[in-house]
Amino acid sequence: MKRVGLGMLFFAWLYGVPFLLIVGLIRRTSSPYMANHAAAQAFGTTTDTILTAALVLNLALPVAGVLLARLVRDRYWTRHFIGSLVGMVLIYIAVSIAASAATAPLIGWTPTDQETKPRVTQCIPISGGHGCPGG
Amino acid sequence: MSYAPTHSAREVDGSGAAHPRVRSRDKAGDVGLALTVAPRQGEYEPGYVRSRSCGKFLDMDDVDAPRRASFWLSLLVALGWYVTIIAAVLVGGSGLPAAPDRDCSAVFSCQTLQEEFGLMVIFFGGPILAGLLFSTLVVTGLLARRVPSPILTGTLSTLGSVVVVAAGVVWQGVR
Repeated sequence: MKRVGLGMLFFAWLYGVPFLLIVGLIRRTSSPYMANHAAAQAFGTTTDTILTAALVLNLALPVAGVLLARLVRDRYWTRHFIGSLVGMVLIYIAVSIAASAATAPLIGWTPTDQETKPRVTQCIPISGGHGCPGG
Repeated sequence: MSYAPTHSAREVDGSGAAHPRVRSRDKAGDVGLALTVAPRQGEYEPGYVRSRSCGKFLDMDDVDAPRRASFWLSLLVALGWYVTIIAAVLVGGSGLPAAPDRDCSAVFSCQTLQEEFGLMVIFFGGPILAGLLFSTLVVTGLLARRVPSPILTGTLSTLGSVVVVAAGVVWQGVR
């Protein structure tokens, strides 16, 4: 039973973290159609959550796995989780390379929306402000 | 679990006679026990000091793990990678809203990611899938002999196969 739990933890890291990263990076690099600013913000927040979860799980699962496997003295999974620490570093390196290649930050990005900006049709002069066009 | 040692477990002395060498993990008691038991026909494997029946009551933790990964388990891990990648691409692409006022008059101009993926499989999928399958089988077969973990073997096999097929696709594109 312990071995099954450790195995599930390991495979959750092995397949789960790349899954979340690929989903997040596809959303991040796409140009989705956003009708308004609220939708764009919601899309950006979801993408940030997916990428953050991937990066946090990439650290938490291998470290928790090493500790648990050592706790139950399972040599097989201890060896594999120690190996997963190398994979964890490689994933962080790959993400940092992707982040350095992007023009905008990987997390905290909001896609452009199609909401029309309100046009200025009236100018009200205020004290100390700019002058209105045409005087 | 196999108890058969490799050929390197034998030593040859000056007279040319081969003597089985005891592995460092074996306890002295194990050796004495194994050598005092009268060997039956087929009791000992060639070049091995421990009898087959001894393994049943000796400490099993002292037995070396097999140094090669299971081919089928490695293949299963590689298959898991392909399923994960394809599922991630489909899930990532399905959450992207498309503009409602697109011009969809041309053929194949307004397709969902799933439809694009299906078309890609129909037109290009055969050679790519065959190449992936072939390279995965070959790389897994080669790595499984050297790498003891099926997880590592399957993962490296997927990486190697994807690189090989991507190089092939780029080469075809350049040609």
